[in-house]
Amino acid sequence: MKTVLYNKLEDQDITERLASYRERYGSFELLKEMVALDGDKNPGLLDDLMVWGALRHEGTGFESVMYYPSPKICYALTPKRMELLEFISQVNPSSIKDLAQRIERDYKNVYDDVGVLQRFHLLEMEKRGKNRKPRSRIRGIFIELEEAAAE
Amino acid sequence: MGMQVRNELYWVSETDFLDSLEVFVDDRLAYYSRTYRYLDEGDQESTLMRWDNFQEKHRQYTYFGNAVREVRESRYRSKDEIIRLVDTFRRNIVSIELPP
Repeated sequence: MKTVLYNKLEDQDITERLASYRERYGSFELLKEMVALDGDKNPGLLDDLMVWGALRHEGTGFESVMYYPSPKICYALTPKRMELLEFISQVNPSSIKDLAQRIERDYKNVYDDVGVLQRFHLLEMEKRGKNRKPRSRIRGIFIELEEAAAE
Repeated sequence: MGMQVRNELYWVSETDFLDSLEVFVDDRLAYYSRTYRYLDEGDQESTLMRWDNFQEKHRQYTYFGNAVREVRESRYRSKDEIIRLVDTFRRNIVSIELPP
């Protein structure tokens, strides 16, 4: 069984991603300098530079896909967590506390669920000032059953 | 046409995955990075290997404790080839001489 999770960034997602780069690095030119100085030691900076560079061009598309070869991902996707992911996409909460309040669930349970979703890269936490804002990384899920080999 | 960014995560086990990033310009692969990471017991991510083609040079990075230990020239390795490599060797990949 192969599970495929996909996400396609909409204009609003791209705007927010660009804002998060600006908050993290100051400006595109500053990040370029950081890469020139430190790129060999911290090549992850290159990825941000390349994505930022691409997203600066209007009309750039951004797709992300996750492949899980094991059905164990299904254990992470409990009904409550699926609901949480959908709710995050719909209401765009500013923090885990805000999320817990708006979905009317206990903060600790929401915090724990966010941790599990984050571990499997289904959700990311974006630093926004003092808060960390949860953001769903998926929009759809496909489960593909493997067919028996032909005899 | 135009530019496209594609980020793919391939989980090769419950704790190990390959993070692939590709930037296409008019359908041409202009930049790629493929980073092999794993989750430790505390679910913290550690990086083991990475391949990219920054400034048109294919490079291979080996990590130790999340810090780059060695950078060397490499050849282009497709996403499928790297998935096969990390799936075959898993965390031993840092200690073996990879096939050319």
